[in-house]
Amino acid sequence: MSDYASALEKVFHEILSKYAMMFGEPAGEADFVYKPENVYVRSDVGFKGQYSGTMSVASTKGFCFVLAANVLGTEPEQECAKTGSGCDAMKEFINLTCGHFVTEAFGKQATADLTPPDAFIIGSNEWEEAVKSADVKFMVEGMPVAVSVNVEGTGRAK
Amino acid sequence: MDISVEIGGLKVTRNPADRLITYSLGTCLGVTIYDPVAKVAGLLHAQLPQSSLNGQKALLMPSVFVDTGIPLLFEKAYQLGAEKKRIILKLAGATVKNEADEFFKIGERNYIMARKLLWKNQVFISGEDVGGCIARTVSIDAATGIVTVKSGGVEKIL
Amino acid sequence: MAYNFLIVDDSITTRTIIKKILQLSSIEIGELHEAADGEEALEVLQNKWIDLVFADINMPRMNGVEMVQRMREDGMLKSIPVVIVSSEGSETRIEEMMAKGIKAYLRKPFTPENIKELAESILNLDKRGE
Repeated sequence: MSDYASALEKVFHEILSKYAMMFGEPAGEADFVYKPENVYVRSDVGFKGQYSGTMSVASTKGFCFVLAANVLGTEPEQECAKTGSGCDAMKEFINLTCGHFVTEAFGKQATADLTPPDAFIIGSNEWEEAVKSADVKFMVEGMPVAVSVNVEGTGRAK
Repeated sequence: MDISVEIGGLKVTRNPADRLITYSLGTCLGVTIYDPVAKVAGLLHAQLPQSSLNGQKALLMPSVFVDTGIPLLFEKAYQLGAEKKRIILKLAGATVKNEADEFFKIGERNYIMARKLLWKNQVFISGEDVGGCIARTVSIDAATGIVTVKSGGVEKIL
Repeated sequence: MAYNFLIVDDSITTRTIIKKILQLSSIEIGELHEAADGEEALEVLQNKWIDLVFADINMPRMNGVEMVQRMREDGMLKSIPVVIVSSEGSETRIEEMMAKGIKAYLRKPFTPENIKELAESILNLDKRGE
């Protein structure tokens, strides 16, 4: 595991507990097998500056709802009624993770502008691709979460 | 007089002569509440984050768990005349760095569970002394609401 | 006295959280305005009386750095206090923002108490019952 992957893992747990008030548990391969009853979501963000690259988080829509409910201090059903989806919370989650990753991986002096994050529903092929290319994979409250980072010029994090 | 709160227990009082105290808070979470008008003080010494870990025990001893202990602490204080809008809440304990806790993160989970519950129920945390690796003794004075934390021979007001 | 706030962030989730914290605090709220980027924020600032601005850095159209710069160049807006609330932790960026005269830099993720205490101290309000 390279420095970037360990930095990503550290930051992922930090943001998950401090922002989302959840914890990641070790996961097995079976946890990440595509299930047709789930709706899968991917969120992407880019960073540009002294260091540039992209980060992706993939999980289920259920994760987005729980995330939104936790950060807003509401029940998942209430959150759905309010904004229609938890996608915005997912975008903010990746924004925070990426912002902290830049500092963790490249130091406190490093500056990078983050591009506006995006979040969208993905199908089985994209989910399988996200799992295959993930640097960090955890189960969070029974839901699979896969995170990957690419730093330009250095290739994949791992 | 000093009233000791045992591990997994809670006490409330409105006798100004009382001081509620709990010893050896390691990964456990100490929660103090105080209503400065009704002069009601309460102290909880919760061991574990979530009642779902042991539903049977949660029914018998809800104060063992953060998610059932805090609501019970408020309930008991209300019975003595406290009102939610006046309550000043402080947290102490939740050490994270002892060897046994490295894997399970009980201290951190206790703290995060409290934060999640309080945010959802719209209660601010007025002071906290959490984390680190030294056990703490916490007391609250019923006459003044002053919360004292003692650790490693050093005493401070929270 | 009631205070008017402007919350500038492209995340509706973050705007909702900050609004909720302010509403729960002891601060008397007059109006709570929102903007999704710097351009929208400047529009609100031109038309409304705002006492305190909470603003993100990374936003589409106009980011927080440019928004603060534009506020500083405007005689009417330059004295309105701004708190930057961003996921960025670059010391260079923080120094740059402090040099532009922002009141505080708060790194996300923040706690409800962070926002409440900052707002109270900038508006010089006494803490209630503490």
